[in-house]
Amino acid sequence: MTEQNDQELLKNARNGDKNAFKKIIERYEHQVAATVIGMLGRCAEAEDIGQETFMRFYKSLDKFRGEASVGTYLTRIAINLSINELRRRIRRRKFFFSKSDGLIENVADTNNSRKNKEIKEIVQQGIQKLEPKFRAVVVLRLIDQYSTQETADILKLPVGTVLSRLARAQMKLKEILTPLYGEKHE
Amino acid sequence: MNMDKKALRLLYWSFEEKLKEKEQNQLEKALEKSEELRGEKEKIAAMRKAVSESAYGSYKPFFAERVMNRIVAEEKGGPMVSVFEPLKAVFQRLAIVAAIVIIVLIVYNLSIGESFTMNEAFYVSELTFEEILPIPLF
Repeated sequence: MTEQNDQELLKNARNGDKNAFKKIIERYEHQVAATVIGMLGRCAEAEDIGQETFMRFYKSLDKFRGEASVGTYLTRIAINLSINELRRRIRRRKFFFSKSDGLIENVADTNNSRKNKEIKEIVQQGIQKLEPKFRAVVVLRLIDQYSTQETADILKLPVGTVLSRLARAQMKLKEILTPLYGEKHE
Repeated sequence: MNMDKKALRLLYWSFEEKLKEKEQNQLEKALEKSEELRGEKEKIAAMRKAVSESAYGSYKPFFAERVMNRIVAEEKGGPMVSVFEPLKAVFQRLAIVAAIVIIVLIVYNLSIGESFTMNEAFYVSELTFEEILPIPLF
């Protein structure tokens, strides 16, 4: 039995077949999760934004014409919702006076980091220290593996801006994560 | 860092796009000359690999079911279901702020008071019901 392709599932979903849309969710959950968790970190809001991404797609099924692939369309929604959530967090932080010094605790103490935390989590924390505009390009290019052109299309930016932000983001990430890699390269 | 800024920029770009021939040659010459730049290239490659492998690619189990339940609930409940969600978040935050203010006031009152009692904490003397109400009952 061949798997239904996206267009068939979407057609059935538009005709009221809820199972068809559920298959779409199952098919793209990983992609949306990688994007949203990359942007927001592992938190309750990441699941809310993930759900909201699919809700918005469901509500706009009739308008989706297939100019972009389903995955790219969902990623675009996920990135926009994630950026909005990050802006809300920044406003709340200003209101509640919380501080962020841009450093990850315990990264300097690399022996304990390696014992107590997986490198994956440390890297994710490093990504969370980036400003939203840099975080978005890192998530789309390095985590979601979109090309620079696709990243530029999703974010509606010129390719040059994407390249510039990627370079700055990576320099900043390298600075944050260097204690981890300094030991690794010995 | 004494690396040539242009070479460094080309190095970062080389990971994203195919460089033009002239730029590729410039980068290769710079890499040949500079051990620091070669080291930087290794660090960038390692970091990019770590970032791409750091993805959390799934939510908790039954994510699809939760989304479908939400879709069904919204279709049944209509706009009212979504209107109260943002209000809930606002009230939760107000409740936290109010609780903090109350705790701070209690601690302050106890610190300046003469004894450790509820009256001292809330800065009230023993009041009767008639004293509290501004209007007579009869």
